[in-house]
Amino acid sequence: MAWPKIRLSRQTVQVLDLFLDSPKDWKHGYDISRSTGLMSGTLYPILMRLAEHKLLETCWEAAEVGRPPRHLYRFTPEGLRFAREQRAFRASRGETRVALKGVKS
Amino acid sequence: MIRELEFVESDWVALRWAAGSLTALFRHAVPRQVKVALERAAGPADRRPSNGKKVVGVMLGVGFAGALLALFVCGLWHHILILLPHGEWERATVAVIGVLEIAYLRVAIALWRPRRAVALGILFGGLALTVHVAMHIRPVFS
Repeated sequence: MAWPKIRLSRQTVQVLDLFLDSPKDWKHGYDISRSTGLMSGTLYPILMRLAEHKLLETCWEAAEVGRPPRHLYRFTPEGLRFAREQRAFRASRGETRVALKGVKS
Repeated sequence: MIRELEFVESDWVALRWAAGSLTALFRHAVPRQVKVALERAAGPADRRPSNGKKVVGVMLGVGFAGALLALFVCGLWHHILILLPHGEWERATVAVIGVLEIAYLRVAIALWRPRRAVALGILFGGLALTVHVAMHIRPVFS
């Protein structure tokens, strides 16, 4: 499958990894921010980009009385496959690096 | 993302969250606006901006000024009131508006050449705010 051309910065990978930890769960922006340590100015462009590429789906949470509704984010099936492939790719690359380090030393 | 402010625990984090949200909105919206403007400018007909585009630009500027005002009032007001003794809300207002006007001026200068209509909108918003505040504050100081 041809994946979208998306820049996988360290922060984007952090967000993908967080969603991978519980891929079925909906997450709030602020909770993602607290878990990853990313501030809103960094986090939201990433979330918007992932949603534009259909890797994340979004919805509005039913609001409690007196509180505004919140936006929720979750992996789409494509997003989940993309993130798993990226994680596997990173893991294999990491293992290769570790192996090469072992050869050098 | 602004709605998440309701769920942020501390004021300082809320201020940072609001500032970051504004940045994110700009990073998301401005490139699109620039792209649309460039596409329009590159069109074969009517290379000069029409009155309609100027009005849209000024409205964008006024909208930006309003958003910045909301951000400053939400974020700075509380903190400045902490620094000042009770009952000095008019001084807090002047302080917040002063910082805000400097921000307006800085953005307007930056946008003057590429987006003059937006810069004019921001300046108009700043002027309207100053006049409005002056009308309310003057009786208090006199």
